[in-house]
Amino acid sequence: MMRIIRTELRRSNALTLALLITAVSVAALGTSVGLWREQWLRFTYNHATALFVLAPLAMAGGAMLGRRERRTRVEELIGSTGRPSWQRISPTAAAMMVAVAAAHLLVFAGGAIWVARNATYTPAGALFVPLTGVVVLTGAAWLGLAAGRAWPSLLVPPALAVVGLAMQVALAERTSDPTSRLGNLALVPQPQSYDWEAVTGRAVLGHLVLGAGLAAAGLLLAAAASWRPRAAAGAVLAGATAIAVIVPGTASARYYVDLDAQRLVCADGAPQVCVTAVHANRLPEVVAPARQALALLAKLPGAPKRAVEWRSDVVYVPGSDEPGGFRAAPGTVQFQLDQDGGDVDPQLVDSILNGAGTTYNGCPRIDEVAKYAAGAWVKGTDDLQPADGRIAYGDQFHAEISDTVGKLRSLPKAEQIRRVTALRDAAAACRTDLLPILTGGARP
Amino acid sequence: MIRAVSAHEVAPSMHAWDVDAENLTVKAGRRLAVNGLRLSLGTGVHGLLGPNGAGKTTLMRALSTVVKPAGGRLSLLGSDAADGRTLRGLRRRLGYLPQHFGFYPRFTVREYVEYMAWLREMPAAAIPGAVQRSIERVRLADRADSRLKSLSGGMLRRVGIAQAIVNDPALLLLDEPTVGLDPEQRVEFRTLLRELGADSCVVVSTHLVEDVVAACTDVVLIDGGALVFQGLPADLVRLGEHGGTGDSPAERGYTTLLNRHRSAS
Repeated sequence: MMRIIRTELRRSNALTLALLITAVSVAALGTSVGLWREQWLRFTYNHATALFVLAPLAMAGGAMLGRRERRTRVEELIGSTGRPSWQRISPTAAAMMVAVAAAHLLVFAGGAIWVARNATYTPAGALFVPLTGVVVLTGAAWLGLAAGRAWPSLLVPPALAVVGLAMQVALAERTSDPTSRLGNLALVPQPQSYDWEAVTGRAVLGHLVLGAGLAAAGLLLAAAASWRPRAAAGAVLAGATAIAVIVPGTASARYYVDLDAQRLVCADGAPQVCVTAVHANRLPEVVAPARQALALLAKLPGAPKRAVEWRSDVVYVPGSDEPGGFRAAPGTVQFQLDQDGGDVDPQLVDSILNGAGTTYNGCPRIDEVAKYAAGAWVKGTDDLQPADGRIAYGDQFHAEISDTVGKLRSLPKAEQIRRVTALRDAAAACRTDLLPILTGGARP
Repeated sequence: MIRAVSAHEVAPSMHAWDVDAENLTVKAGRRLAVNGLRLSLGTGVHGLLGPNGAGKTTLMRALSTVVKPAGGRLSLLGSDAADGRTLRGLRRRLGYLPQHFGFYPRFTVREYVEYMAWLREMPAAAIPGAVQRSIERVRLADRADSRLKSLSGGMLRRVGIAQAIVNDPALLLLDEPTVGLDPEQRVEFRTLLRELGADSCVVVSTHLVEDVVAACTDVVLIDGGALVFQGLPADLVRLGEHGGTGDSPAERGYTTLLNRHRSAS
């Protein structure tokens, strides 16, 4: 049968489909290089999101091939041969599987070489994610094959692609609801919020079962000559869909915090500066501004002696006000690094000084004017740059900061230090209403 | 080229006739295209003649097991053609060239014949040799690696014959095999038919009476789905010597038989 599979690979549309899958995957990954080039977890996600388009494409490709028998009128001839139908479609189905699997894994391998050169943390589980894609693509192609055999109209392949895409769009919309399970059928789930969030085994299993269900139903339908295998295909598909919907849980349960990814990696020398394993390649850029910030904070009594990257102890749920986060250990100041492959914040010093080193201490972010003013005082300036420039406050906000810092500086030096230290300690204890601590009770 | 002889080829025959039909009826759509046919064919080349709509193609489709008989009994190579349990084994020993020979245009000659050999469940080890031999027998060895879409109509017909004989079938069914063949190829084809008919049952459906006379050992004439005549080609020629219309004695014999049958019914 190997010779027949090789013939099918050469002479069917399998190679064309493989080329299309490769091209679409490369294009999809190419538009988001910055997001995934250094992170395995982001890479596997971005690689898998192309399935959104690739699965309908594979279905259309399968349908094109499925039409072949009736389109070329070989049914009469084949009908006189003895090989059972399930064996007869095996080389065709195998050629489709080899084509889609090779294309999907080839693109993964290409990207993986790049990621392997940049990533500082390699989760073993990430390497299994593309296998899910292979199964889903194979299932889509085989289901298309069955559809093409049943309805050899020229309209069937594009119709399948459009219907498949429309279904995925509808399902993708469900993924924004954290309580929804229907979104588990979407091939483009919500992305992880933090770089250390990994997809759960149950979520991978869900897509794996869905793909296997599509594949089994496709084979049964393609080989079916009576109602029994068709009914079995319906049952298999329904069962697989139900498992894929239920097993992964709600959309909010899709990711978990990978503690290995959060493991701290520290730079040589003192004071100690540490980042998470997933961001270890940022460490050389972080050390200098972090130590500069630590030196500035040292003007306060009880100043922190080490700086570590902020980590969340929970998976961030989009729309939630609760970012989670480990509370800063005594003597430690925390800072945040960009979560989507961006460069290190050029204002990292300001970011660390904000709140006199308390902004990323695991407490809710409140009383920003007071925190900015305390940071500006520590830095010796009248204002402080917003973290990474992403939070834009109005002129009034910055005027308040300058006014607060100005009034603070008009006080005796010891009082200035006392008030800023008091603010720091209050913020570290997650207390609210910080501004009166700096102003001596007055609010502007 | 020397070929291996399989066990079933040398096994003693357990049936009297390779094709044995009794009161056979076969439908083409809703119409009874073969109606109460009684026919017995053994080893040799049997030319199936009849006017358009006589039921030749429907009969060939029934003999090839593509359609099930609607009634009566049809035994092929000793197996009941309506028995699903023995169908698979029977089909391994069949060769069939349909009236419309469907093919995958992107396959090469060799690939397509190989594919058909695989579908006919030949042993994997025997396929490459059998494919080469059948391609040589239809004089297409020089085009073996050409894609089917690049071949002329006559060449495609020869590919059709090659795939039909690749498994050395005990029962070979050829529906209009000489369509598109030039005179030289038809002469070669007749020689091939005679070779094939030496040890198997070959049924050739055709409109060309001279092909039947030249290459067949037996003539079967049907009309309206029923048997009109079965005999030797020489009998057909002899009938044409005393009347009928046509350019040759065989053609006159053919029209004489048809006219007699129609007058009688």
